[in-house]
Amino acid sequence: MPILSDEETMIADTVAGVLRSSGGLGRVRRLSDAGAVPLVTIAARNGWTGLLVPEAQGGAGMELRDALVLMRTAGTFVPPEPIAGIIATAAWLAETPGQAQLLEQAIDGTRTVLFCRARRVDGQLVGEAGSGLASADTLAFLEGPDRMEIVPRDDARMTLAERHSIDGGTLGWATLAAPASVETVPGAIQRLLRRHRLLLAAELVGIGQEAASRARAHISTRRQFGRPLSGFQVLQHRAASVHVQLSAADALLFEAARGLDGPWGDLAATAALRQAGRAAMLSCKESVQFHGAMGIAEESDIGMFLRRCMVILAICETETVSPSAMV
Amino acid sequence: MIRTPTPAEVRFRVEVREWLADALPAHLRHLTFRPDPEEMRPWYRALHDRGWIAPHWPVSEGGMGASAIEQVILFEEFARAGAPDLPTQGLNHIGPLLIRFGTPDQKRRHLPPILTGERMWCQGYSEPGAGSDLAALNTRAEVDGDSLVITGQKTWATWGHHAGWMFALVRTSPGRAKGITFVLIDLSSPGITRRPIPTLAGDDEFAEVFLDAVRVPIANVVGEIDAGWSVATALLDEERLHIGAPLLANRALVRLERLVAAMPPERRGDWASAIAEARMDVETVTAAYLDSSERLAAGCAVRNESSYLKILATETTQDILDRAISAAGQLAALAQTPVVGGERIDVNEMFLQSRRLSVYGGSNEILRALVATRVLGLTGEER
Repeated sequence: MPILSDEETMIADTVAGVLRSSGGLGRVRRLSDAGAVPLVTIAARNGWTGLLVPEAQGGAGMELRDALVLMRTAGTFVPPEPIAGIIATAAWLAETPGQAQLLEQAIDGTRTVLFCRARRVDGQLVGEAGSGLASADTLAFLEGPDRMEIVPRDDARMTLAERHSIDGGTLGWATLAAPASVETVPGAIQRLLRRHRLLLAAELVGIGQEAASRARAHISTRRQFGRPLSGFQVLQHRAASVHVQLSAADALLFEAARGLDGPWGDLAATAALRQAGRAAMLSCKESVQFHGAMGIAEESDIGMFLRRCMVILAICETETVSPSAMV
Repeated sequence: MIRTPTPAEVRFRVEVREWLADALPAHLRHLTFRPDPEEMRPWYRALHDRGWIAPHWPVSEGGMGASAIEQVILFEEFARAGAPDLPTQGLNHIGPLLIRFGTPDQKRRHLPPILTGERMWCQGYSEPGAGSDLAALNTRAEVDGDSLVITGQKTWATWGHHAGWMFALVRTSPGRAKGITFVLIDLSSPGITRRPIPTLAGDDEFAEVFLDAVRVPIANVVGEIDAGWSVATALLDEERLHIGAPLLANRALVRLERLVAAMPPERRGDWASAIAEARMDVETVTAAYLDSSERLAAGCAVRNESSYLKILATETTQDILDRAISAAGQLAALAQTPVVGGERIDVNEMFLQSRRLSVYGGSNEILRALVATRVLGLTGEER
């Protein structure tokens, strides 16, 4: 449980306020309703997209820790939108020459820019699945460690397939025919991927913490056999086990931020994401269980945490833990 | 450690590594059980002479005053070099307790020999009828003039049969926690019998200590008579920080790495991801340790919050060793530790030894109950 500065606490409170007034979890349930303002637009309006972009380039010039606090708070509202993606992509645009105008549009929300890792197959760039990818109007295809091509959605060479995902959002797969990728700034893609991984880890920690908090609240009020469920030792112990994993994930998240640009950056990002995923998944499963049959009913919000957690982990599985990531 | 080290920390790590390469004798490397006192003492003394025996003690008391990062560097380098497990009852328990609660005379008499290793301590807390429920302890102490006369039995005392002194909780008044006194006992006193307890791992690290009308000066009481429980529990958070430190997890990782390195080359690749995952698990414990240390030092730690660390560190260590015995395959059944290329390659020793980690220092069940009730507020009481 890292000690937050006053400014960091304020970020958490502000983010929570924005998400609450946007409708909280109810907003996520009603996403298919027409007329909803996209969260990526709300995010841009509140300065989230440009959070890690230097002030001199029109961003908020904040630290990675601030972004982690933002994502951890955001996770507690289980939005299926790719907030981590838009923040990480904007920071990458800021260090990519010739993208000042696009950067400005990303920051003010007139454009939604997301990165998409891709492999070259039969002369095409085939992108990995991205959560919320279809909300982008501009995609940055990343090929290998050092090549990229930024493509507007309406480019004739691009196809973008979209499927509903279980978290109320969508998954997208993009393909780019006849790519003309160019070299990136050295190390830029590695920095982007490390940062994105850590932002997702923060989101997972938030998801897990909120699920656990709701589970504890439930067992403290729900009574059976003449007393609150929180008096039963089995539940106390399982809640404690969840707390152990979440506390470790929280500590590792902020520790990884300290080392992200250092010699162990890949290890840091991968370890943080792995532990966050493990802790969040355990928390979400246990939290459903603690709610009993109510936890299984769609009417209960607790299942939303499990499903969002699954989506994040599913798209991360393409970034497998490989020994080569360990220096 | 994954955070980027400062230049001073890089230098410190090199210094530790080079000193260990020179000073740690080959016959003490990569052992599983603590060496006997006679073998241990020269090494303990060498650490003392180097100034590194008590990293967590304040400099004013003869310690290193090391930062949490420096302590992690020491843990990692000591594990890598296979440095033996030191007896910790003096360094981590009675030493810090005396620093906090001891009289000037008690500190003068007892702290220096803890630092030099001339005096080894054991803990006399548990009894056959009082383990997790320590407040139910029964060893009686009657006041007789300027002495306490103590009769009873202590068990599971680590190094009880090797130690020179024991710090013990004894009952001076009826009741539970309120009638307990904290006292220092010279184990060469008449009326003391000791018996080692063989364990499932093949060592006999623990002992029973029988006390039959043992006379102990009242000057050896720490704090006041009947006020021993608060002395014993005052530093529980710091003690759990020590048990929750990443030292053992690093040692388990080194075991796994050495085991895989000793395999035929064509088998090693199968275990590369197990090592990568073990490495990440160790970094998780390290991050949690650094976070808890920071919170304790800053004064914002909630009471009992470091209990989670002990659960995490011990179970991570056990999990890594689970992987090690899987990697060892049939070799994990052997009673005799294989030697490969002149190196002892542990295939099951540390695994068997690690089963006690979730039991001692507060069983992980008790600690989960503590976390649930005191930290998470899950008490079964009305909200």
